[in-house]
Amino acid sequence: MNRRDFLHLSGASALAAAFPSLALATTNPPVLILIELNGGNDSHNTVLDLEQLGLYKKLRPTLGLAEDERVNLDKRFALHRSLKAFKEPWQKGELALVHGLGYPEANKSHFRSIEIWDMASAHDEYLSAGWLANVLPKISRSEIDALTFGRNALPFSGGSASHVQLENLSKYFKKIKGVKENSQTSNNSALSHLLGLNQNIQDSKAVLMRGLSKEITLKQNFPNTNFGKQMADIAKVIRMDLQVPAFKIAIGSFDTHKGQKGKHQQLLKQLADGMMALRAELVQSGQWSNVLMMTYSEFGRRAGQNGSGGCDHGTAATHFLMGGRVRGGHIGAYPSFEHLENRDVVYNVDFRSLYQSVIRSWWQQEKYILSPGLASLDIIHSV
Amino acid sequence: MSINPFSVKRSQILMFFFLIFFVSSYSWALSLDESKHLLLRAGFGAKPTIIKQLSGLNKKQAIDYLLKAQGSHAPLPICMSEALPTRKERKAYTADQRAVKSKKRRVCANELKAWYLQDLITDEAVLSNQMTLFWHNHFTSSVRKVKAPQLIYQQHQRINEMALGDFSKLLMAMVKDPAMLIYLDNVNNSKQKPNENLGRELLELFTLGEGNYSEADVLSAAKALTGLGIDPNNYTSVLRNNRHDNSEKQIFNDQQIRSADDLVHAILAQPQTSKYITKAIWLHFISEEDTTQINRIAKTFAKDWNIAILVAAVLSSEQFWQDSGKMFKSPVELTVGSAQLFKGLKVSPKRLLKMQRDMGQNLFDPPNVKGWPKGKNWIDANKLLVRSQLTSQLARAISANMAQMGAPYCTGNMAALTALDVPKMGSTENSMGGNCQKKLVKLVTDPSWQLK
Repeated sequence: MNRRDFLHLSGASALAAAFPSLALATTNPPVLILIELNGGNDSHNTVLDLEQLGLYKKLRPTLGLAEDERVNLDKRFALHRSLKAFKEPWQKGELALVHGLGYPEANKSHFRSIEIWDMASAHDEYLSAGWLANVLPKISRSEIDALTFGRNALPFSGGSASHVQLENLSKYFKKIKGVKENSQTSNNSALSHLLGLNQNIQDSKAVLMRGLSKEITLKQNFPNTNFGKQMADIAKVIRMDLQVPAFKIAIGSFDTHKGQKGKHQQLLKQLADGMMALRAELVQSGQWSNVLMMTYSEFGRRAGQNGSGGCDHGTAATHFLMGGRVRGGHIGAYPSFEHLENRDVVYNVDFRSLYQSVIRSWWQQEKYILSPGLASLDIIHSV
Repeated sequence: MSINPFSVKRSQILMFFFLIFFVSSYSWALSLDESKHLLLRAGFGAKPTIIKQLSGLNKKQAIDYLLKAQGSHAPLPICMSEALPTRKERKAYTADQRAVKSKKRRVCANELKAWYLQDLITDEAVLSNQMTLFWHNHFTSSVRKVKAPQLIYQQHQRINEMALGDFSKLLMAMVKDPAMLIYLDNVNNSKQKPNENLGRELLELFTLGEGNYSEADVLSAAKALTGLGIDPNNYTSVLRNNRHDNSEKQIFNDQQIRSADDLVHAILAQPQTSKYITKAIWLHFISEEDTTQINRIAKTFAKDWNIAILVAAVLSSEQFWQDSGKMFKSPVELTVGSAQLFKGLKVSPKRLLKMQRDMGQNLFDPPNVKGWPKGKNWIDANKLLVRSQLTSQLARAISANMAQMGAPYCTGNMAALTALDVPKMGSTENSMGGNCQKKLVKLVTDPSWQLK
């Protein structure tokens, strides 16, 4: 019996059909939305530690944010002014800033470092499955466990999770219309890879067609950027109640070696607008307490500016957790600009302990261990 | 010490049979399946004109034939001969003029892509083209960032000329290539303010591979490259001494370098470079890594940096000939291959380019410095959908134009078309009737059409 048959027979599903509102309250798995800041976001210019302003200005005489380019969050911290809208969830206690996220022996290659983050591996460990690839099937109550909008589905790949990658829903619907079942099997690994993908497409088609029939219309205006439109699609799928537990979306490129200021300002604005629209939509639909957004990036950037109005690849960074049940506030300590190693700030929270905390406190998978000995972060409170 | 005469005799006999077997298997003429396999990997598919040329040749001769094939290129789009603006001209642009120029540049870039696509379809030097694309994906540069199609073309020309030539010269040319210097920000790399983008990617992606250098090496490489930029008027690469850090820098623990040339020589002196390049080319043609073979071929490669000899060694390996149907066609291989097989396929270059882009391979515009995907990363669910769209379109085109597109395969051998036998294809007899059309449709829409 495959998972789909099981779902059809299971009591939960029958109950859900009979009492949709009850199903929503009791059986919808919590949703995680991973937001990849592709290219390595300059977190020193995203979240500022005002206590270190003197050193910051020295390291970044022209790249650093002036007073009118930032907004104060509390007495000690400020945000890039493009993130001004974050003040509201911050004041409501729905936004956590996790400072100094990174890992020992940071790798500064875009490709290797994003792999380390997506696989939740050590710097010298080569894993074949993403950090969510084997845990999602335990949480998911859908035939499809994850949707990736845009680039890089690595966190879901290489394990037992069934997932698809798409640009946006309407394009995807158009494309899947004509796709036929293919019951072929093969011992040629390349061919069987294709047949597996074909099966995932079939599964996603069944699930999304079910959602489409609910004719959801969004209440919020989402920004007309690629990121904004994809966030609108994610909000739509969440509102369809298809019980898909994980989404991933990417925005970039944050690889600002050169002429950073304007580009960074635009990207952060797009990020904030998209996240805030999704929040507003799900607050309105009553699902906000079931959703967690988490940003991540392959690395932060060099403490000091470079010679071309930008900065080079670095190490630790601050990231955002936003959601109706997030325990708002600061987690971890902002890295010191005084104690640099090879011109880089030093991490102080292992990103894997953040991942482990999501698995533990967001999805209640106490027994699923990414790697032993990871600290537990207090990121979620119950309703 | 005595030698048993009997055993000597036996080993001689064995050797004799072995030699007979070895020589003959190597000198036997290629079967149709073998020619097809060779062309699916070393070219873009079983192009009928080349299949004909290979008939009667043995493996070695066939590989030689492909290595030596001479290319012929269609005339370039007219916009390529337009001079790039001098610094003075650029400075004098009004905002409107700038917008017009940038629109023109985009149009020109698209013309260049269409030209290249057509070239790939018609040109007979398929292996050289295959390797040119390989190097485009190795020494990546993107017209989107470089913003000068002329410079991208010049880079393409350099790569095309050296695609099967001397790697040490190719590497040196790429480090100093104007498009590359713009793409990886080396035009902003100065003694006063180093920018390490080119230095890092040179070690990580172009020569040594991740994990085979230290952060200190990156810094030294970046310093050695300082001052290497381009002339603002004629767009050739120049070294500006006032921006160059000529101090002695240590790299790879024990080597001292000053200049970009020193840096390239130091990199070439690292045994890892030949291994890294050999492995990349091996995996371009064969689905599975074989460290022993790669190290063996790399050793020879490090002596003369002859890419043609390296490619011949890979294509002659036993692993290559046993790998049929185990790799994924790239979007370019899928589209170019289909256009080569089905003469009379009328799809505008614009449309083909869009399909390639949707499948993840935009010519002259890879998504990032690591290049287009490789191996199974070419295909995810979304990309598979685009590919299915493409093949259904191809199937419709064939059905609508059986006389021109289908006929050659209805009377000839259909097995020459695809890497794997398609299940439920029925008997091998082909007829001009609806049966042949059905088979062709089944063939190009089957998942195995994506494989090579």
